[in-house]
Amino acid sequence: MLAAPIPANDAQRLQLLHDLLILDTAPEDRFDKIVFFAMEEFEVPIATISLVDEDRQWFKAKSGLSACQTARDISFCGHAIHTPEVLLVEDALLDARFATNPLVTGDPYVRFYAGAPLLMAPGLAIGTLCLIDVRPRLLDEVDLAILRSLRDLVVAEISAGNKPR
Amino acid sequence: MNAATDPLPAVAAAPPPASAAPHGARAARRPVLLLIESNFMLRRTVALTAQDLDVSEIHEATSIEAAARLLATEPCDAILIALDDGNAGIELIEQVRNGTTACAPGVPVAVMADSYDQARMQVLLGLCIARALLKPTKIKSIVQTVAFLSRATPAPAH
Repeated sequence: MLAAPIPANDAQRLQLLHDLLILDTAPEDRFDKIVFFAMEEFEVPIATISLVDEDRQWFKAKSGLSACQTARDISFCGHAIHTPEVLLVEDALLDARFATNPLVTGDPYVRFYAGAPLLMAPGLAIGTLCLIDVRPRLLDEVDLAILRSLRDLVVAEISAGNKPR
Repeated sequence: MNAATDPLPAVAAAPPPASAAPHGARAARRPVLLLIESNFMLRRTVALTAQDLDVSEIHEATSIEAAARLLATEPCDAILIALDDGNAGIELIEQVRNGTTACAPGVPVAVMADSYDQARMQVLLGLCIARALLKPTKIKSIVQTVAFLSRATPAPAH
């Protein structure tokens, strides 16, 4: 397993995330709705809005997942925040970065992952809107565009409701 | 902004993507589709996705009334309209077909509705509807319908 790498600008990224005052806040309907919408659109059992903190990923909104956070080093989202593009893992068992990841070999048995980074500023992704399935999946160009659009709604909600202090 | 409510004015045009042609580049003009849908998340996701895929320029209206005001002065190349309660949506399509809006009367039109009875289908067929989607439907199906409408030929004279 490849542990989620730490971006060179992680201190700046974390400062932005912490300034938003969104970590460890209560669930909010405006984010839950987007997650449910994504689950229904893509027919996946799990969808989350995951925020990548210093040592953990914490779920601002989630469906189909009991945990409220996981360690950052095993998180898929920790990988997804490195590029502005969607991180697409069609079959985690066939991907050397994730095949032995405990989230793949154990509960929730991730096989498919698609994470759209929540870019709040150029190069500064605070987390992802992600889809997870327990079976391999493919996404076509339209699917990816829809995921990016839903991600844009999340970013707009965060920008509107959580101004950095 | 709040996904639970609708922050947009009753009508809004999606901002052009960075790659869009500048004003005056008519040869590269993308078709303009008017999307009439009250559900914010559905409408906005369709508009953003169509923009992302460079399928169409989407103008959004949150209600039939807002769309009617827009169509009084602004033409469009296609219309996708959610038929909610009442006949206002059908009446708007009739106005388009009768040439009383700024649109060409034969502009391609598709509809979305929770149900269709036989009488309504007959009316829609008479109005030369290009597609009828049954709600709830996937965003992907709606985007594919937007792409279809953007390529569709005008309906015959009404």
